[in-house]
Amino acid sequence: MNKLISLELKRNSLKSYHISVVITTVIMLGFLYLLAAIPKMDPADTDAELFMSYNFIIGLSNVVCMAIFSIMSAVMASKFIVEEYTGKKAILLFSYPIERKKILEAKILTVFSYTAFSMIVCGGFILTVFLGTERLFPLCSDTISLGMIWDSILSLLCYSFIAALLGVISLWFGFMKKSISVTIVASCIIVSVICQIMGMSLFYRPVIISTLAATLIIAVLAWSNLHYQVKRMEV
Amino acid sequence: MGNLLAVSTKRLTKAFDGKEIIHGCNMTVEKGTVYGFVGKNGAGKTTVFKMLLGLLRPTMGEATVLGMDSVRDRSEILRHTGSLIETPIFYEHLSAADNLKIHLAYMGIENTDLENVLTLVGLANIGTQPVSTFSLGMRQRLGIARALVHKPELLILDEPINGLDPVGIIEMRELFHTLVRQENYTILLSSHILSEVEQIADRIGVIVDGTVIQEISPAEIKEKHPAGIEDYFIKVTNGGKANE
Repeated sequence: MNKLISLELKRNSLKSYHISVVITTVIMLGFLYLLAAIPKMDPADTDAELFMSYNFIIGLSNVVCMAIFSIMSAVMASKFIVEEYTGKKAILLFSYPIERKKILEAKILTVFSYTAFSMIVCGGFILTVFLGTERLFPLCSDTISLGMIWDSILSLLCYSFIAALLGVISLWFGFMKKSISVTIVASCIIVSVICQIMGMSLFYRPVIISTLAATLIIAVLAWSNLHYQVKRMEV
Repeated sequence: MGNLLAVSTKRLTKAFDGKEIIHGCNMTVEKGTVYGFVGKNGAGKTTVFKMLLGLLRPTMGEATVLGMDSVRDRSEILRHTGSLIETPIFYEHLSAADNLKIHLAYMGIENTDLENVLTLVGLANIGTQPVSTFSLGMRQRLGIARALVHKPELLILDEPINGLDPVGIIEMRELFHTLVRQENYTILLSSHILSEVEQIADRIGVIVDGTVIQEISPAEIKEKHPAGIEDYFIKVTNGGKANE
């Protein structure tokens, strides 16, 4: 499997995705400071109280990050998978003496791992820089505690895996229609729904865990159906 | 007899949306020979090739390639077969050598003299320029190199001389002859250039409307049709004789 993944990486350059991750990291860092500064912009606004809690602003930042990374995951899946199983490219892919399901698994694992890992690195960097500066020059009136840091890390891990799993679910829609645009549009729609649920629950941990479990189940079903489709595919 | 055959099909049939594109197709390709597959556009040549390679599943009948079943032993057939189907697809941003290296890695083969293979197909000293800059003829040559590089026993080439200049066609003809005569390859190829098929092939199969209606040697064609292979082709494809 490692060999198949390394071949995927040789065939498809990751450079553009690395650049996207760096740009996302810079923008999200700025976004996090903006969230922390909201109460200071208009102290009379009572709704801004929400932004005085680290849990809220880090949770919100993680959700936005999840939306960005899940759409990036869909773009990557459409390039690595949907495009390669469409038209004449599929002839090349099916001409290798390797089980079709193994090649598909390598592709999905590549996209899944890259999405989850890059979001963890991006979120981890943002969190470290933000909490580092907050210790020295606090913008937020909340206090930094070990429990809060642990909650933030846990939320980052959950959202990173949700982002990667949403990529697999969007892939299923795109694969059904063999369309790059369907993959990306499906991703945008799904991620909008998930973000609404998270926003309404104010990043309540059981909701995050339940969402992770639900996306995991749906992604596993999508994965097994993709296996079936690829096995039956004729080109 | 069975182990002397590289390819044999029995009543091979393929239907798309209920319409039979290939029906009752019987063909045999002996090992160590060049088999030329000719037919009009849409007669089913590529579909038959795809079924031999396991890219399509037969609706009925069976195809045996190198003694193996085309559906059950798909991976093993692909390991021992080199193919060029339709317009070859490459990893455009990579060089010719890198494309071949990736192909070899998927085939599970190492330590092959890539330069030698590229020289054989007329792509010596091609350097590191990406395949996206290649002409149609260069892409075709690279497609043939990819079919050859893992040293298969059987080559299935769909219109391999398409897009080649006259010199390229002569070079490929010589290459195919060398591979068959000196390295005991079996080559199954299709082409619309009948004069070329006549020169390259030891046996010619004519497919009409999804059925191989005749398998014949170029010598027999010359003997029975003094007016030449084109005259033979027109008569056969319009007449539709039974498979002999």
